Amino acid sequence: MVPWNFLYENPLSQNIISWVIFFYGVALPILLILWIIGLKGFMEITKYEKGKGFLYKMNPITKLMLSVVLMGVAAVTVWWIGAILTLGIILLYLTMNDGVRKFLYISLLTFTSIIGGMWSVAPFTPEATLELVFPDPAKYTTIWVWPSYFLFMGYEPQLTLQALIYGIQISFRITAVLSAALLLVLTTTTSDIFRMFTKLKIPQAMTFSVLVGVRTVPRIFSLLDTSVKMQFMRGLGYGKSRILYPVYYLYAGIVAIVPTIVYLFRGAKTLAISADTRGFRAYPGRTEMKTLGFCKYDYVAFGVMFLLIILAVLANVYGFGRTIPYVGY
Amino acid sequence: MSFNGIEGNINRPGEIPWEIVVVYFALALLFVFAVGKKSGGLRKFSTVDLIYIGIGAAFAVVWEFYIGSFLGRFFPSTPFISVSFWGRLIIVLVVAALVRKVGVGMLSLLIFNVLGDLFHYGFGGEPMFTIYETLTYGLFVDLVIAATGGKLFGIGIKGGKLFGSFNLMSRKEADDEDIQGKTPSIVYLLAAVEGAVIGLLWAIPDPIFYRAFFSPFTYGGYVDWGRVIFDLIAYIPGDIVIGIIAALISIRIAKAVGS
Amino acid sequence: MKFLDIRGLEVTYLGKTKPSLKIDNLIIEEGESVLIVGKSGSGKSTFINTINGVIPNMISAEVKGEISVFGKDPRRTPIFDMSKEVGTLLQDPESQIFNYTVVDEVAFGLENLMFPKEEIMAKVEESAKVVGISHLLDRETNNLSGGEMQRTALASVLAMNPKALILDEPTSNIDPEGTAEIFDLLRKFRDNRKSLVIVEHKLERVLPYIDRVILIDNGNIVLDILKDEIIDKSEELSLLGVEIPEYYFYLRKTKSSFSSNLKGFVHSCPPRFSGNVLVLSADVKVWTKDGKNLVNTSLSLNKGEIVALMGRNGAGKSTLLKAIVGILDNKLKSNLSLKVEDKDLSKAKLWERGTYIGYLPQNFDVMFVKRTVEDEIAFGMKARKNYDKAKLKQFLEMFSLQKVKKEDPLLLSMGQRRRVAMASILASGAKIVFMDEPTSGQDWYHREILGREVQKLREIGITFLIVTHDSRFVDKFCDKVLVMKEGKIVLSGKPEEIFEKDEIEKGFGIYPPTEYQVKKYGSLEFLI
Repeated sequence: MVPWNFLYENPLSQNIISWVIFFYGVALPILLILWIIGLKGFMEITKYEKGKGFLYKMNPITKLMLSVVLMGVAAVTVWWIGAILTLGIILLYLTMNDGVRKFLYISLLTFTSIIGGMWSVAPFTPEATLELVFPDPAKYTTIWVWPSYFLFMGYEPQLTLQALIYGIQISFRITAVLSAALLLVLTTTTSDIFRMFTKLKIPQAMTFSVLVGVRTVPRIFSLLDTSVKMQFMRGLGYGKSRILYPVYYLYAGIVAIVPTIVYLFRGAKTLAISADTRGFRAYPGRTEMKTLGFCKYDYVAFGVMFLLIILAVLANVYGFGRTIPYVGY
Repeated sequence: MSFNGIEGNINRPGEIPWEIVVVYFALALLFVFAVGKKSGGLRKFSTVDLIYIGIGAAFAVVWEFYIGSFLGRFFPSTPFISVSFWGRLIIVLVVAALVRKVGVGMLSLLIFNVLGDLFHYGFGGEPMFTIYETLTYGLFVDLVIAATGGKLFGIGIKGGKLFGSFNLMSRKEADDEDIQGKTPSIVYLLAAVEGAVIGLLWAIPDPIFYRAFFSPFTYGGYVDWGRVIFDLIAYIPGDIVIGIIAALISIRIAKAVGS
Repeated sequence: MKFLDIRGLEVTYLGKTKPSLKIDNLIIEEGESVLIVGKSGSGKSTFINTINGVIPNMISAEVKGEISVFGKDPRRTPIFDMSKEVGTLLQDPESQIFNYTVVDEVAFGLENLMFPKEEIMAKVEESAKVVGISHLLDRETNNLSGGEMQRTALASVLAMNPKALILDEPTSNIDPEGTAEIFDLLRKFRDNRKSLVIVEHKLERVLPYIDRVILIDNGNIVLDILKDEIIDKSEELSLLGVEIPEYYFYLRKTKSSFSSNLKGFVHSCPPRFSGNVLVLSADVKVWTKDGKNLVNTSLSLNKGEIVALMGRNGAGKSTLLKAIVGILDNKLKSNLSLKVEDKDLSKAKLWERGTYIGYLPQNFDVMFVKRTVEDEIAFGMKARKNYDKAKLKQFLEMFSLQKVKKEDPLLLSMGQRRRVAMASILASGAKIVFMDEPTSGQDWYHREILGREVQKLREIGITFLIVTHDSRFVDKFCDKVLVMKEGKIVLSGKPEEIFEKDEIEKGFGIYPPTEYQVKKYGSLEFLI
């Protein structure tokens, strides 16, 4: 029994608090983080910066394979292997240029993913599923009881501590992949991604679109940032309490999208002329001045991948495979 | 053992028979090849089209993984509301409205997924998810473009008898003091209907294909047909409304960009 | 062989009823260098895009008549084939470049044309040497200065070894030093007798590198003259929006030529306003995380003055503006003491600063968040709870926006959009306006309109601080110049006082209007 049980036993407070949690339950910690990092912070973890660490020297194909292997291993093994892998990958960020800052950002991003992941699973997990992880329902700690009509929205009658734990466990499958995916983008030049795609025989048209996308993501953040700040300068949030700022910040970010799209789309023609007048898609293939090579770090990474696969097999053999059914989120 | 995070379960209780799924995707692929062969495949997309798709994909990433995922926390996690999904619907329709060539829906979904993988998912579960989304969401948009004869949301229709004389293209910078030609309201109505149709179609794949096939196929998730039907019904109103809004935003953007 | 041979050409964009370009007859010989002038939207871009085949192969339009470029019809030749004959360099280097490193950018075209690896390397090195970027090959493209970026784009075009070059306003978006570097290259091309078509607003600066001037207006060639005839035609050119230095009129009046003595020429400056009420004073310090000082200076503005902020790229001009209005990058650290009209705003929130200071970024388009012009202008008033219909009407009238008040701001022309943006920030209450490079990429006609607008607003007590490289604009419309160098304001004075300083070009990267050199040297020899 939790000390606040009287709150959900009284129908009035039960209803009010349930709806508050329903709408804003996990928003607060995430908003706090958004407030700390700001849009520009996210821009930083989506943009390549020159660096000297070993990740920068590796072949992008190796990095891509590594993230696929990590995904596979996290998907077929018990949750805590995913958690360890996440931690390991996050630590790699320290080897990057301006590593501490990047480490901090990715940690916060991982944290929000864990909370978000947890929240999208915990209230909906049926007891039958939970029992596979925590076999004795009698020992479950009820944290909150929802009003009965919440069942209609797919909610379980009560939220248990065990469901939250299960939610966190599930989320580690996402976090390992998320942190591995950003590794590739942060340490590989767009040109090398282009080369990687060419090597993988992906048509030029698609590679080009993807490249434009990669180059545009940080520009979007920077333009949205300008637009948002301009709205504040023009009076948004006037006389309002600081607590409401994040809400205004989000609002401003959303209304900034259309002008930002228009601004970027207007520039599309220039880039198109510039690419076409330099022979883009003149022939089905293209030659390359530089070819991607493999260095010693790549071979080390291949070794790591091999070990990870062995680990996954062993984990499954010894009963640490993915025994928890995934509810499908 | 699984391949790239895909388990390959095909006999979970309630799961749609895999034969049906295979037939659907085989037919969809045939359609893609038929259209591709007829129109010249990727070649028919101009470089500007490819750039629109690339920029659109970048927006989809920013929306889905950064803004939308935060925003989503403000809204209840119910099938009635899906902030990330709606953002993607809007962006795909904006790009489709600018390009208006059959195939743009599928190509956009494909590029969106590759970029999403680069930034977020790390190619987990691929290529299955990309094929699935491309041949459902993407294909539906293309079907509507084909049905409108490449005049999606009335963009590109010019001076027809039905609509009187107007032009949905933006003016050149030169006409300094000129005002944009007015768009008749029947065009907006037409666009709204087309947007609603796409919204309705977009409500189908997730409950039917994902919840009743790919979720068990990939993760061994259980299939609850009560929930599948409930989700389907719950998705429809929101998706239709957003489809309509997306169509109207698309007209505005197409005018401003001057496609 | 002829570079260009056009007969009875008519280019009509889809959805338009009348042609956007009409040329009865035009021949450009191989090795000739031609300057194209005219207002924005006159048909210059249509002309060059028809030569390189972008129209109709990429931009849909109906192209009637005969057109031959080195014997090929660009309509029936794929763009990539045309690009081996004619290279195209565009205005904005940032939106042309998309590869990560300089070397990749330069090699892009060659790789597309499937040259073998060794040949690509040789050609990349050669063209990098020509434009002087050999030392930059391993650099990231997004860290280059505007001038370096533009030379990279040019190297990429040159690597494909085209017989002719089209340069579409190649210096419009870059600083004066970058501009000088590009013009230096023109001299080289000229020595090699490369055929050139140059679209450029800075007529007096390109003059040494051209043979002929073509003026396009309203889609027609209205003037096609040899460069020596420019003096005679200076009035016509000026009337149609071409930036003409004052001494051309003097030469015309005295019936002289370019080689004549100009000692009698007097450059008269417009009257300068001098305010005596201090409206803004600021002490600003901005530094990076690793302690590098970006800005460390004091600034004060007097009421009603139009002040230009000039200096090299990277001198800290934009950073200074952003620090004062409070929108610096989170990565930077700053220390600000700011007083506006005796109110201490050092720690003020954004909306509070916005009540006093308006800021217009270069990409002001991203600030339009409302569906109609009137809502956009009312945004600030409504947010501040001081919405007043009469005041809104006043703004609409002041900026001639009455007719378009119900229109979508995103659909307006560039000039109208700028007026909506300006009206919107003034409607928020600001009496001081900061503008970041509003003249960049604009032709003289539009810069003059901007100048007059700013002067009109000065009449009602608005104070301006304008970051610009455009010295002729400053000379004609500003009251005062502040010059920044390495984060400090080091010079301040009336435009003529600044422009007459000997070291201004070398030491501060400011290229005064050529009138000042003419005045100093008494001839045009300095240009050649």
